[in-house]
Amino acid sequence: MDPVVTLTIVDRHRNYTPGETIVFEYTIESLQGNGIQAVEASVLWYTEGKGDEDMVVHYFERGGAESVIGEAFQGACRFETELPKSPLSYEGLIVKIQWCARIRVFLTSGAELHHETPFHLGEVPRPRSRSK
Amino acid sequence: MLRWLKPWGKKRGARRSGSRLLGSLGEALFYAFLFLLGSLSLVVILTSVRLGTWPSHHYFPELFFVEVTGKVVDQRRTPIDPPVGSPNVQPEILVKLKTQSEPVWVRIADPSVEREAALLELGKFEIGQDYTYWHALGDLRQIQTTEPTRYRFTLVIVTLISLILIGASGVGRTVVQEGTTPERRASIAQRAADLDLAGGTNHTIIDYPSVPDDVEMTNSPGIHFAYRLPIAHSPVLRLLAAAVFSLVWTSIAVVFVQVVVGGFLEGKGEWLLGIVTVAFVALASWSVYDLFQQLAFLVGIGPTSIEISHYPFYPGASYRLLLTQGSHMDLQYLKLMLACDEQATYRQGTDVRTEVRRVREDAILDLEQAQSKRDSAFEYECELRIPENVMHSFRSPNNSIQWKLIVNGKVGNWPFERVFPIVVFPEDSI
Amino acid sequence: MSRHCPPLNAMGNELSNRYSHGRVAAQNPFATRCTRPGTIPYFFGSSENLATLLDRLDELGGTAQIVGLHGSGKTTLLAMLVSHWKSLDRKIDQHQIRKTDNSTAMLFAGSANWNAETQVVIDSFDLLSRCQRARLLWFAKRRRCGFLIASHRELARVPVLYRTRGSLQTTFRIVQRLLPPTCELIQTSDVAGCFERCNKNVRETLFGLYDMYEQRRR
Repeated sequence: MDPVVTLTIVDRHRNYTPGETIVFEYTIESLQGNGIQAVEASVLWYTEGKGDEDMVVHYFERGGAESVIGEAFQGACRFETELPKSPLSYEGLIVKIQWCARIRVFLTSGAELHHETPFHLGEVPRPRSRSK
Repeated sequence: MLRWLKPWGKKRGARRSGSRLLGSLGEALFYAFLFLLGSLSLVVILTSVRLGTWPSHHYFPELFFVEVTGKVVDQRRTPIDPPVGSPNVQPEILVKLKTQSEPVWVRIADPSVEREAALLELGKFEIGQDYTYWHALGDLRQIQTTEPTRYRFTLVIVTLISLILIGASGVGRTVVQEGTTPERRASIAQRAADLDLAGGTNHTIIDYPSVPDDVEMTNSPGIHFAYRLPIAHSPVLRLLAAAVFSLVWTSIAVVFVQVVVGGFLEGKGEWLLGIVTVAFVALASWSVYDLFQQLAFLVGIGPTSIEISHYPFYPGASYRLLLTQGSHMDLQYLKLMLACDEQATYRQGTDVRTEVRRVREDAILDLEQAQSKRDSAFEYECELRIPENVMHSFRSPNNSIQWKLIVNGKVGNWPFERVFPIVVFPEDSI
Repeated sequence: MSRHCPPLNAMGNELSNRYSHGRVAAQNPFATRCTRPGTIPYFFGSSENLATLLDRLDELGGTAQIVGLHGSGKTTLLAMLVSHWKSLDRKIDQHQIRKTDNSTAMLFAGSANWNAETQVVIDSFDLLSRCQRARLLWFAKRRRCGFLIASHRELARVPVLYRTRGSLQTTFRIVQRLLPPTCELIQTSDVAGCFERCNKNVRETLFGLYDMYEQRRR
């Protein structure tokens, strides 16, 4: 079985408010002899739609094997961040803003595991399609 | 600070007296007169220089001096009868010019010198040697041994160019003044000291990442309410661009006309150049027409301004708003709406593709016949309510969400639209 | 055209997995992040593939051009080739020429490092001036590097490696790849109609389908 990394939100709820602290938890399973070189955890937003993608990282942490491997094997590693006041999640017609947390695990074999967990910041409803 | 010359724009305290339109028109005419005076005089002088006719030939004979060489064949000191105390000798040399069969006497000191000085001057011209001389075209009586200076001509040209520049910039400035209501500017200067601007603008890019900078929203105080909103694209700038284009193109056309007309009058006319000149003149005429159209458009429609009671904008919050539309003509209709646009830019290969999609549009004012009197501004005060549960303003390198107030109207036969971008902050920041 | 066209989800695709977990389920599959060059492969005609293209490039001595209209897949094909060369650890010097930035200056600055190991890849080469094009070709010849360019029109003195053409069949294949397996919002007739409306420009067709998808799912 291949190594797997999973990332979840602790005490997940539908929408997060600006200023709220969000906690993430990740586990690495089925390493089967693979060593961990480094782990990167990030919380970011990116745009999608009809324009080029813009991306801004709100939180970033990179740790070596020594900082994560013990915890990861025992149970789950956690990281947390206080969410900013903007931009709020948005699902527009041609511009969308998505918030997510990403975890990347770099194995000594050269392989890379990653997982992404989306979440909503704020409660902005979708705009309705407007005919001109 | 040096004040700009304003012959018609009378001021009494911080406000102007009389009709501002007439004042502006008078100023525009004055500066236009300077511009035309400079332009026409320049054309006349340059043309006459080329043709060798009046007025250049009369006032700037030095421009038409011819350089010749000649051999000195004799010298003399002519006694003259000067006023008491003045030098009494005029040194002269007899020169055989290569272009003339008969030798001519040339004065080498003007008007006259002492005897010793005359000997010294004559010593500079040895008999039998060739020297260079300058004489007026077709008139050997005006011959001299030094090259004529042309500083007078240069001075006149510089003066005329100055007139053109002063005239053009004066017209442009008058137009700018017309578009930005000097009363309001004076009031702004007065109120700026009274208002605590810092109190309402503690929103920064650091506090609200990706929300556009809102400094422009609050740096202009209003007269009735706290802030006057900035306009997206001032029509004055477009007018100035048209004015510069027109001036440059007209100047080029004038030079072409001068060259072509001069050529034809000399019998050396070039038809191809003539055809090109016609095209240049046509374009110059169009640019002048367009400039006056825009001028009339701007003066006729007048400035639009929006003032708001407080800031920043939050979804669900209400504000007082004052729309002012200055117009010298009757307003056919006037609309004010709050709109939200999404904008996305996509670059791939050679394509840069920007798409704008309107996701919200709320009418605030819709008047079929906005009754405004000529020469007085139309004013409308109302409530501006930012809708609840809407996305805040957002900007990233390739994507943005833009809120704006849009004024649509029609004055006479001219429809117009003026856009006032606003910044809406996230709802939870109240 | 048939009113009851079959859905375009008959073929499974690897991208669709992205919608099943991790991603926001409501993502529009025609968003630019899913359609930009490099995220979807170039679809060759029946007799062509990447290997035959690379063989032909070798036959041409490493210098060649890819020619095609806007939105026909030139950049996508270049991205596919670059990805292949990168997997072989080949030294790549890739440039996208734009009129509005300093890409030309960067290109000439980078040309100082070209050598026989370098594969130069330039998109929108026709935006350069005649003189600049001649200089770069001369540099490439002197340094003996691979020199592959993409252009909207055929340029003199450079052999044509491939002509990209946007076809309806190719567009079907791209859409099949992009759409989630269970999605029935976009039908074949929609793709065909959009392709015609967009003057057979594949990129514009995908933008049109984005709007269609967005409208129908709301």
